[in-house]
Amino acid sequence: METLNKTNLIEDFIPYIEKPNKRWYIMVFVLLALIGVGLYAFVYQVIYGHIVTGMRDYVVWGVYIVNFIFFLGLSYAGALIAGIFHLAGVQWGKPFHRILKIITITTLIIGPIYILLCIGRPDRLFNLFIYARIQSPITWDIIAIVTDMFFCIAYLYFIHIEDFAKLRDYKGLNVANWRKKLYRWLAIGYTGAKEQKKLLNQALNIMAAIIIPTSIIAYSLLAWLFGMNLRPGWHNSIFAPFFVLTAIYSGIALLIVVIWVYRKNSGLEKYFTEEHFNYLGFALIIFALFYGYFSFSEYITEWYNSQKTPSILLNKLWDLSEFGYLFLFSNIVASILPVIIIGIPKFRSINSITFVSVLVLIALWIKRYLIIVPTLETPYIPIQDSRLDWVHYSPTWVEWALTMSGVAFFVLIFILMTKFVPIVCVSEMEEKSHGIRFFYKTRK
Amino acid sequence: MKTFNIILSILFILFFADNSVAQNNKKNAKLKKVRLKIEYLKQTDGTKVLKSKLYWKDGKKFMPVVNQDVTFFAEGDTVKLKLGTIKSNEEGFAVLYIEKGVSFPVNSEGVTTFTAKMKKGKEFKSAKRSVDIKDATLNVTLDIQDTVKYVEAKLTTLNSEGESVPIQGTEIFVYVKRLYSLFKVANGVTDENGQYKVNFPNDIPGDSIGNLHVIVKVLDSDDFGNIEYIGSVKWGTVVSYAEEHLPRALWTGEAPFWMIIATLIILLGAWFNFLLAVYKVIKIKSIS
Repeated sequence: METLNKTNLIEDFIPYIEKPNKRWYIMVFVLLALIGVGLYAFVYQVIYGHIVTGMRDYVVWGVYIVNFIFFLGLSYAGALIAGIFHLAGVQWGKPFHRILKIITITTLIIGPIYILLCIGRPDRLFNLFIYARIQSPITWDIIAIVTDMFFCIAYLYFIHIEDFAKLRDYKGLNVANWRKKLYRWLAIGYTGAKEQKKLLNQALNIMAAIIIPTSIIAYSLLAWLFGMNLRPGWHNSIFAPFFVLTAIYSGIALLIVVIWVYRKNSGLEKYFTEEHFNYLGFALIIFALFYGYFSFSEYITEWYNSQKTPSILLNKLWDLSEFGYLFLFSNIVASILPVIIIGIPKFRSINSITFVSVLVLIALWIKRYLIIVPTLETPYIPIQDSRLDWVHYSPTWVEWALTMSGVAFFVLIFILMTKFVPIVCVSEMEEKSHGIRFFYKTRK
Repeated sequence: MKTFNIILSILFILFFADNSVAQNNKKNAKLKKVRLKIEYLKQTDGTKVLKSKLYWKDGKKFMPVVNQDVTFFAEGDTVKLKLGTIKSNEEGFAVLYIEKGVSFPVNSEGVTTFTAKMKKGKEFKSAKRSVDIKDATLNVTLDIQDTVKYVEAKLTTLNSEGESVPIQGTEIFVYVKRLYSLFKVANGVTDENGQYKVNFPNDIPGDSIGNLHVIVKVLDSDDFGNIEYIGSVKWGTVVSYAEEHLPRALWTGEAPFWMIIATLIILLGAWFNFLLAVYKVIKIKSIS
């Protein structure tokens, strides 16, 4: 990795923070238009009811819940990876901290919104809090999401304090006065003094330490919403570790895509080098192999049991006229493709690693879809006397529009953040190397 | 050649004839045969209900005849009165309610013939079914005598002179209404005075204050059809709906203590560390 010896790295990012160019405005406009389409779809759904979606009596969870799980997985993965990088003192991971935290917060905001879209009576949402039962996995999930949100927002802010101070002190920063005031306020008087630095490092260490178990537990709780449910394909003790693994896998894939975009469009090649892509690519291979192992373990156990309804479900997953193509795509792409493309040096490049990462993200989204929809179409009590279109789920334009607007919102946040703070944690990059952090002390 | 032509003509005629018969058969075969049932019921308040059921046989299955007009008539010796026309519903039932006080034509024996008729349509053949009913009155008394509860039913009809005469030998059923069906309490036959009296049991569960719906019926009588009386009395045992207190468990309203304590410990531990980190950051500001 190219060593960045510059002491004033902030200067590399000032052009992006100052005046936005025409392309930036066009991108924001396009993204706002996509979000607008989503808002229209939402209003349409509120007026005409959930009949405008593909959800019916049997398949009561569809694309919205898939998106909820997918986005929350990315969120917890971002927090988990950032925490591990920080505590383990992973030097090559320094440029990613801020990106990981932004991924964490953005997806943590977007994910629960899909729950609100799925609820038929959002005005009754507060019953979840008023009549919460501690025995319910839904209550656990709510507590976990709220806790994680507080922790991640705090952690995101803490890692920005030094850079806010740099922006406050940067002479000749050509931004509006309100932004300069905002930087000053957010910097909370940080001057880099020894004692202040010590306190900040301690705070960051604590947050990194608590965010790792919080993320693991939170996503496990989400997995137990399914695992503790007596449905074929869900009632599985492997779900919690499988979900955590899939989350980290998708988080790494998304990180690769994001840094590729920044490398291409913002000229940040010296921050996001080929070495970074190789390291993350290898991480992708490892997780692909683990994913394949977990998937195989899950399906072979179900198959061997030969229970009636789980067998029907498995047959549906393999049946090309039902979910076969999706099943094959998600398993081949997620388990095998990274091993081939990234594992063989001839095929490995920044672009190929990114391409595989995009496919992996799609495959892992499909995997969540295959967890939810086929199971709901295969209940233990056979479906009788029901309309055919109520038996099979098919997402409508409303659901796709809202999915697309969620992705657009995610991209929009990144674009806005790039204008507000350096996308790379400059202060951390300028720091000397440190060893593994052990709770509140730094040990070399 | 001539012979050949004759043979050809005969064959042609036969073929055509056969086809034309087949055509007629096909036309007739298109119309389905309807089976029609009619039932008469006299309710507590004197309302009469004529209920007809229409269905047709599709292979081995019986299918309802839906949305077809069914006309009801009441006939005596010389007078035929049209009572009304009702469309059959999705289950094939056409039900006509006739208010109390409507007098029907009768024959010399005091019998009215109630007829349900369905006309021939595009899909179904015509159908007709009649039932002969003599009007009868069921008077029921629900009373307590010397702490013994009893149900007394008296069945009477009017003779040709218009006098009320008892009906002997008709079976009476006594029921109590339950959630999904009727529970038979007793049954018996009317005596020479047209009366049937039976003791009512003391141990039938009622609602939360002991109410019961007692139903006395004449069922499917050849002469009198169905007659029903429904009365409400506080003769049932009081059923307490108070929920018994369930122990703390995963599936009850109160969680087990270990679950609450474990959750609190985890949350307190996490939030304590979070607040500690926030405190350290706040301290940065105070140092500045």
